[in-house]
Amino acid sequence: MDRSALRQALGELLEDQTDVPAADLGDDQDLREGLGVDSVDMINLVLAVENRFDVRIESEELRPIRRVGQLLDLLQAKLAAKPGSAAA
Amino acid sequence: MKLRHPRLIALIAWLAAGLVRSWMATVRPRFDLPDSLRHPADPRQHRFIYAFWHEALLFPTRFPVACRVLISQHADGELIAQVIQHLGFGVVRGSTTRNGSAALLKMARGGGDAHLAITPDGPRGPRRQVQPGVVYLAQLTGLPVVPVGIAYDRAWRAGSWDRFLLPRPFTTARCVIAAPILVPAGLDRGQLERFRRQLEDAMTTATAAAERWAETGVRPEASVALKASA
Repeated sequence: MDRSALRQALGELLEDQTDVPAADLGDDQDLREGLGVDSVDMINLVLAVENRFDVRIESEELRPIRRVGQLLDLLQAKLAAKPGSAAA
Repeated sequence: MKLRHPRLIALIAWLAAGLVRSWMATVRPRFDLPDSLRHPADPRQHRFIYAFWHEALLFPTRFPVACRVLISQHADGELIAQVIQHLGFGVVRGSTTRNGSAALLKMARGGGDAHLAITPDGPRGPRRQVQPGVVYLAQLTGLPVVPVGIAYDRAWRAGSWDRFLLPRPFTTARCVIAAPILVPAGLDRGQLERFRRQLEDAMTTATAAAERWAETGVRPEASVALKASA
């Protein structure tokens, strides 16, 4: 899945899980300050992402995430590391 | 003055842990329980999330039981975290204001061998107001939250935001434990808020009962009232 498709999927999950309007997600948008995602929203989002993409995000990996682009980077790395992935 | 030097923090934490252990060993704990289950329970048989106000952070150090404690990532949290670790507890760093999601996730996924302990008005208050993270953690883990109220017959209070309690040596601690609150899965924000208020009310009631007990020496009949309101 390329980054733009991933961004769209993330936006859908964000809207679904948090009611945050996420039609035009930008890499530099701050999840907390810019989009109003609080810690409860973030965990809902992480659980939804894990379920949708069959990946596991650890708390240490979540700790430095501040912006949409960082979350996309993490997700891309997770998907690339999955067995059977083209990039793996 | 903020402590920043890692070695100095480590040294002070080691000394403070020894002092806390010795100091709290002189305090006699008395419990008022809502049912026949003793607290803190053996986590291999019954696991709980224990919720107590930040001001009473010293009291649980009296009990060597497997427990993970959520401690702030603020600079002064490092000292507290190291003291707690020296006292034999697990520590998860984070709060509702900094890295809350990572901390909640780590608490929720940390394994089934220990209780969880949270000061839901920490790390910065407002004093005695429950922040929503603990209720969400209860929903994520399926663990019941035990509201705890603590007071001492004789104690000093600090001038900090939480009016931190330092029991005087050889005093008696009064601990009123309310009936556990189970938070069902799949709740929306409004429903979670209802449980947050319920927990706050239970902790407020338990604390008031503990304070009356400490003032009068008369064991409260709060356990009955707390059970009925749960």
